Amino acid sequence: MAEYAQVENNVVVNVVEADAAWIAQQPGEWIEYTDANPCAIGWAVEDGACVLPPPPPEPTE
Amino acid sequence: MPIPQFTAGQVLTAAELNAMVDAINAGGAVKVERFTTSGTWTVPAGVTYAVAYIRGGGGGMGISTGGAGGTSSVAFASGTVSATGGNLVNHALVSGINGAAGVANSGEGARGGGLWGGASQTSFGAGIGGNGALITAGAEVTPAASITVTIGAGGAGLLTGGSGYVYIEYQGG
Repeated sequence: MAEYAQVENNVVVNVVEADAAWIAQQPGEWIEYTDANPCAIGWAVEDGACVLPPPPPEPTE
Repeated sequence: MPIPQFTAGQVLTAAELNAMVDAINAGGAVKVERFTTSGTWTVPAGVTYAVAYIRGGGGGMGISTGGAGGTSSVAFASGTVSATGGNLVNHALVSGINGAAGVANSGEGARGGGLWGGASQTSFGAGIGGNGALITAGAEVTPAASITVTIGAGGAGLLTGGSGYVYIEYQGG
């Protein structure tokens, strides 16, 4: 079992738990991701890798 | 085997009574198919109705990399039923020490927090990723049909959300 991102128009639209055989049967574009290279819904995809959004502003006290 | 109909005043034979008992035994037990990863449910012979309990993935928590939980779904012939994942949380003080990831196949959001304020550490902040939605839906099904089941992953982050699940309950088969 692994984690896969479903990609439409170079944007992640869902993240799922699945195995490679199931993913191979599904239509559309999917990429496997890991904790070291995570994907999240709404992130952009470039060259098969997820692109993290810019960090939010630092909190103030 | 369907339970037969009888007329008023009819005397039942042993064979008729046994056929009725067999029909009740064949259709009476409630069975549950559990999915913790995406897959396909093949409807057993004799099953014409099923109820799905669908939980989306929990939201993750990060400094800037928190992600929402994935959507879980069951694609009945009458339409796909989906449970959306929980919301993400981004917090500047999240760490693996100060919180907990969601448990696998629970749909729980990640939880975390911490102190800040320089040496005095006078301020406390915390956040909880949203739990995945829980949807219950029933639908007519066709024996031998293949139904696609999708399990939403837990949201990304330093603390990840718990993945979702699907239980499909049915009688007979």
